[in-house]
Formats: sequence, structure tokens, C-alpha cells
Amino acid sequence: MNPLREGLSQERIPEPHVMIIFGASGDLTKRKLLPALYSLERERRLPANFAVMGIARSEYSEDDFRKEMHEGCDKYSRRKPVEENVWGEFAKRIYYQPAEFDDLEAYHALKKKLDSIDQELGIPANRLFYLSTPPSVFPLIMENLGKAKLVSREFDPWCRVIVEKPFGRDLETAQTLNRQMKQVFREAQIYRIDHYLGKETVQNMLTFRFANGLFEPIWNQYHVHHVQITSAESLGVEGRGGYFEEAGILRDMVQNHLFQLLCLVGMEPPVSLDSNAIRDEKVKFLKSLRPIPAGEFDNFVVRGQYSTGHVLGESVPGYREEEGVDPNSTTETYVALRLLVDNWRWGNVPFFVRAAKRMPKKVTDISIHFRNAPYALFNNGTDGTRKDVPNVLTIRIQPDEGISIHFGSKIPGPTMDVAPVNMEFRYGTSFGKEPPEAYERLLLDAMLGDPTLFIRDDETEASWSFITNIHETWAQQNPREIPTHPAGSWGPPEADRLPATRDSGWRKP
Amino acid sequence: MSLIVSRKNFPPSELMVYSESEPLSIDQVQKTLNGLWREASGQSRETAASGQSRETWENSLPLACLWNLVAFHANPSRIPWDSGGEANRIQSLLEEVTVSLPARVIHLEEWPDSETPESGNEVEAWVSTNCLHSPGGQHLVCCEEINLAGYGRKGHSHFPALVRAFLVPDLPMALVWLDNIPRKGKLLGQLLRMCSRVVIDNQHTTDTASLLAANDVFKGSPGKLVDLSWLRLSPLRHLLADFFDAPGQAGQLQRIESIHIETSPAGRNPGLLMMGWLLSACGYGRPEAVDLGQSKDVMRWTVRRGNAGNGGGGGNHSFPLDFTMRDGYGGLDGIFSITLQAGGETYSLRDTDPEHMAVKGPHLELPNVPLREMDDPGLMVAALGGGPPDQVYGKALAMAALLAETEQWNQ
Repeated sequence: MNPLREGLSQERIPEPHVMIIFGASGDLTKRKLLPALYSLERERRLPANFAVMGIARSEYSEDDFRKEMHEGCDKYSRRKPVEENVWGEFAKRIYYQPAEFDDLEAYHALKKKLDSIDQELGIPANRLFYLSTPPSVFPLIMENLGKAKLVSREFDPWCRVIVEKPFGRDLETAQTLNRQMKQVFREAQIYRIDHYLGKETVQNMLTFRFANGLFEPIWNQYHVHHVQITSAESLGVEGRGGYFEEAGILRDMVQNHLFQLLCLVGMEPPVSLDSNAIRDEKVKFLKSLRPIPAGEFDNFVVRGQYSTGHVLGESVPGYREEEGVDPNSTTETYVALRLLVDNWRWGNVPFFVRAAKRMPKKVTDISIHFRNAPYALFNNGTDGTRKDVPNVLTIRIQPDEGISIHFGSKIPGPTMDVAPVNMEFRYGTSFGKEPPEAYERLLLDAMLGDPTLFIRDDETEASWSFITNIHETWAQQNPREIPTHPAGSWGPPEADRLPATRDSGWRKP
Repeated sequence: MSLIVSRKNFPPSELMVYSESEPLSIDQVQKTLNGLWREASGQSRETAASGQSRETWENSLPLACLWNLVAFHANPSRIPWDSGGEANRIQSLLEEVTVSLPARVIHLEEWPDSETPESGNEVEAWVSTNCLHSPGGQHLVCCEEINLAGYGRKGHSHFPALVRAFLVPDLPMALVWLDNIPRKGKLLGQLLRMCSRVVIDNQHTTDTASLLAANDVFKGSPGKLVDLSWLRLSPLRHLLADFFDAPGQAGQLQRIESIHIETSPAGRNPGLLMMGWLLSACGYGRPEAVDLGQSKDVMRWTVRRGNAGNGGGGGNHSFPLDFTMRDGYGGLDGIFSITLQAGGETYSLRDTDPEHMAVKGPHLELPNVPLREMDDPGLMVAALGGGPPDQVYGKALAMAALLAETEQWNQ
């Protein structure tokens, strides 16, 4: 134990280790991973005895790889442009080795190289593997890591692996993948990453709900009318048509990111901030989701696809005209769900979840819509109808992260007229402090051995269990039928039937 | 008045200051603030109405407030609202801080040698409302400033009651006391009881008595004191800690053979804090001063190795602590170099220029590491954000106070 570290815990420093990135020549490494590592290095959050080893098929020299990563940091880092003196020292500890993932010899060579780095930098053989590769090669890499004795199931020195989504494409493949990973690693060594959980506002959900006494007493079916979660993208598939054809928005956004938000809104208070305590509650919530009733599918799920339209002043093509997309594609680019939760807290409170591409703007938010006052004392129209001011609490995830509360207030003057007002809290203007990028936070947590913001095996399986049922029903329906909506609109009209009874319908965030 | 506030790594923001130039009687303070508030809100609504379709009442000016910041300075070298001088430095500092941490700022200025003004008031006030156009949005975050000037020998005696009256309810109060800390000060004692955090800066003065006074404050108000000079040492502490993360290296700290710290005059107190931290963190006990005659720029103490805590190196050998001062600019922290010998190895941090250090030790040799130092507004934000002040500082300060006491004896 290094006594000089005491009191420096505010800037938690991981133990010395080597991070080994498989698929290091890919976009993710250049756009996200190395820029995040550079920012951490720049802020002195990495140990001095730390090294990065890139592994990929591309025949880069070590210098070429460093140059490529420098370019990535210069372009995508939160702390751009790169400070050359920081980069100079950091780059000395970046290594690269070209390798075919199925070549066992390459793994033996990797072990030798890592041993020599350990000796040179005084690293006690701690390893953090990052699989930034297609999931199809996860089992192969893991098997070879095991055969080359690069993985230890011990705690000291430690060995962890971060895996990128998608964790399977349905329940069965997710279960198979989990089983294969656990033949080499213990579950506690596996860090399934969902970058949404690295966002400051998402983490603030826990603080907001459980650090304040004000909200939790009304966070239930007695006071909440319904909840809406929206993830809207103004972009289309951006050259990833081939990938998106296979995935669809339900797999790409809802199964992972939006279900994580859903869990954080709906879960019960954890007994502690221990990673398993929090994840236990998330799994419990996912298991409480009511299966979609047979025969009522269309009242619970609506999918759609964008057609030609206008977004942010530009004319854009429809999904079927995008590169790499089948002209007769029925892949959904819009999905809206009506979810019910079978537990005491949320009985009969609908959760409306929607995700879509080519919406009017990019926005992700969660809105909690509270019940109206029991008796409309104010603002009764001359026709006798009620004119309630809805009380809505909105948590904006991106952009302009913050929280606002919408409520009614008397307009100054001799009459008792009520007008809606907003009370706003914005991260940017309240704290000023620049939040770290999601990958910075998540990489640091994995290095520190804190899995709280990573997804456990039973979480992935619980969410896939629900999502797979939807895919199976779609497969049984007429596959040629999919509602469309013009790009730049808020979705197909069919989605309007989901939020029944409430006058407001879908929010337009 | 409008000025652009630009902080490193943040987009520039426009700070609008609405203020009155004439002093107010005390009972007018809140009323005037409300008036300024209405004026600022009116401009906010106009801005919103010109570019947005939302209802105007949804765009009323939101007041953000996280802290009551009470800043004290005695004998300001300016007349209120004139430019220059220490009080102005503190005012500018707090204006930058409130961009990141919205607050109500109460400046207390003590003018003990001044005549009571013509009005006959022993205390006068000025107020202003600072509004920030957030980048790219019409929403504004504001802070309110109340300046209280106390004249003559009794002027400052009004301060505690006025502070109580002007605090925003239900929010914590931080006392920003960047002047020398008096060892027996009635005003300081009264304000300390009201606040939940005290921000001092031991680098602000080369007087080592300030360390002793800070130690008194720390012991009397545990958990409240944050020292900007300690926060400035954070990059150096990280670099030193880096040496001992590698396997087997932490044990070297129980085998220290010598410590040498070299500072500029401005780095005297931070240097003593650094020395105090190294000794207390590694579990060493009371240092004994070595008389070096008339020299005020070189100080030496000895510490017995056997004093180290668990796993101490054993034996009764003592090792020297050397402290030298020389002219020059030692960077923001004022420290030129730290050299530590332990277990037959040398660990050194040495300025290559005021912003870079050469780091040299077993397994770690970095010829030109940039020091990631924060500027004063950044340090102040760090002092007010985050958790409560750390106990490691308390131990380092207590040890630094011991060093300072014997250093005074030496002279």
C-alpha cells in the first residue's frame, strides 16, 4: 500500500497495468478509446506505470500506430489539440502488434512482449483486455487468451476484460456468448460496456432519486401518471446501412441504452452503492416488465421507417434509399413501446419508450408526468372543461444535460389565471466543470475494478428476453408492412395510439 | 457594464454586471438587489422574446445559487469600486468562480484607519447583480454581490450580524480569508462559527506564523479548512506518489535517508507543507531542528527513522531534512525541487521550467512532465466543490506547524 496515495482518492489512480486493445485499428480506438486515455493521462488519472498495447490485423509499425492515434486524439479528444509534451511521454508507452486473431503463436508473442513491458515499467502483470472487435470473434480471442495463459482468474495480479456491445442479437446468442466468456473469465472479470452509463446525467439519476428526500415519496403509481423516454437522432444510418439492416433500432438502441435508462428510472432503491446491489435492483425491475399481452401487440409496440424528408434545413433520402440498405427493407428505424411494470410501485403506470433516427433534432430525455390535481380549482374553461397545467419533471440526457420541472403559477394581476412555468437546472451553468467523456469514466472504472456502471450477465439476458419476444412477433407478422413517416417528423401516426387518454400524447422534446 | 469571462477549457461567456455606483444604507440592500433582479429579468425576457417562440413567462431569469461566499479583506489598498489592489484581486477571483459555482458573494472590507464617512455610517454597502449569458442559450445564471465596508475601529464589529442577515437561507456559507490569519481574532472566530468551509491560502504570505494560525483553525474547526496552497501541491503529490506504486517501492518510504526541498520565497509555506506531508504520510514523528547559525535561507531538521509507523525501517538512525530557499519563480506552487533518498535509491522532482518537471527514480524517468496545475479560480472551485477537506491535510499541516515553530526558534 502506497501511503502517499492517501487523500489523493478524489482523483482515483488505478494500479499499474497494461491495457490491451483487440481490434485496435478500428474506428472506436481512434475516435473514443485513445482520446479518452489521452484525456485521463492529461489529467494525471492514469498510473505512471501504464501502457497500451494495440492488436489488430492491420500491418502497422508501432510508429504508424502512434501517429494514427495522435491524429485521433487531436481530432476527437475532449482536450484537443493534443499537448505535444504530454503526448510525447504518453506515446512512448503505446505499443502495437499486428496479429491474426486465430493465430495462437501471435498470442504467445504477445505474452512475451507484455512480460518485457512489465519488467521495463515495473508493472505487476495486471491486464485489462478490451475487445473492440465484432462479437463473432469474441469466443476465438478468449479461447486463445486462455491457451496462451494470458488470462488469470486470480485477483492479484488482476485480469479484466471489457466487451463492446452488441452482447448477442437475441436471448439465445446472448446466453451462448455469456457461457463462452465465462469459460475463460469469471463473471466479476467481465465488464460489458454501455457508454450511456458513462454519461454524467445518467449517473445523476441515482443521485437525484436516492440522495433527495423530495422526489422518492412521489415516485410511484399514486403520483406518476406516466413516464416517457425518448432517444431521437437527427442523423440517418450514416454509411452504416449494412450494419443497421441487421440490427434495427430496437437492437441498436432500446435493448441496451434505453433499457438502462428505464431501469434507473424505475428500479427500487439499492441497499447500498455496491455494484451488485445496484445491478440486482436493475435486474429485478427488468424481470417485472409485463410480457406484451397476446392479441394486443399493436397497442404496445409500433415500428416505423423514415422516408424522404427534411431535417435541420436539409433534404435527406428515405431509409430505403440509403447506401447498403435493401430497397424493400422492413428494418425499423423508429420504434415506440408501451411498457407496463408488474410491481407495487408502478402497477398501471405506463412507460412509453421510443427511439428513432431522422427525427427533427437530436435529443435524449426522460420525462415523468405527474397526475393532475384531484380537483380543478383554477382555469376551468367557460365550457366547463378542465385546463390543467401538467406537472412534468424532465431529465435531459443530451444535449444541455439538466433537469427541469414544469408547473403552474398564477399570472400577476387581478385574475386567478394560471400559466405554466419552468424551473431549470443545467449542468453546464450550475457547475461549470466540464464533465468527462463517457469512455473516460468507464475506462477508469474498469481499471479501478468498479463494475457498477457495467452490465452484468443476467441484465443482458433479462433485457434480451423481453426484446426477443418483440422480434419473434414481428417475424410472424406480414414482413412487408411497416409504417413510414417523413424524415424530420416525430414518427408515424400509428405511434400516437400508444399514449392513450392523456391529452398531451407524445412530448415533443 | 459587460465583460467577457474566458476560462481555460471553457467557451467564453458574457458576464453582465448590473450595479449601483452609490453606497446604500443597509436597510436598502435587499430592496436594491430585488430591483436589479427585475431589471436583469426584463432583459432576459426581451432576449427570449426576440428569438424564441416560447411563452415569455417561461423565460424569466433563473437564479442559481450553490454557496454563500463571504470574503474578508482588511485595509484594502483602494477605495471601494476603484481598480487595483488586493481587494480587487479577490473580487475578480470570485467573479470568475461564480461563473462555475453560482453564489451570493458578501465582501467584507475593513478600513480601520479610515474616518467615518460624511453619512456618519460605520458601515456602508454596495450591491450588484452579475448575469451570465450561457454560451448559445438565452438562459442566464446570476450571482449577487454585496460589498460591506466597515470604517474606523468599530466598523468591522457590524460584520457578523450583517452577514447573518444577508445569507441566502438553507445554503452553506464559505468564508474566503486570503489575508494573513490572525492567531487571536474575534471577527474570524465569529465568522468561523457561522460557516461550513473556510478557504485560506498559505502561499499568500511568506510568514510561517500563518501555518501556526491555520493549524489552530484546523484544530478548532475540524473539517472546515481548505488551503489553496495545499491544493496547489496536488500535482507534485501525484508525481511523488507515482514513484511508489510500482511493486516493492512503497516499502522504500520506511527507509528514507534524506529529504531535500528547494523553494522560492513564495514557496516557503508550501515547501513546509510538502515536508510535513511526506513525514506524516510515512508515519515519521517529531522533527528536531539543527542550529545552522544565522542562515535564514537554509534550514535543517533531523528525524529518527525508528519513528516510522508499521514496518518502520527500525534502528535509531536519524536522517536529515534540508530546506533551502533561493530567489526566482518556482512555478505556481513555488517549489523548485524535491529530492528524496530512500533504501539506496534517489527519487527526484526538479523544475525544468516553471510549468514542467523532470521526474527521475527507479522505473520512472520522465525528463519533461507538464505540471497540471490549476489557476486560482480553478483551485477555488475545487475548494468549494467535492467532499469535505481531507484529514491528510490536517496531519501535514500539524507537522508543517511543528517545522515552522522550530524554524522560528532557529532564527
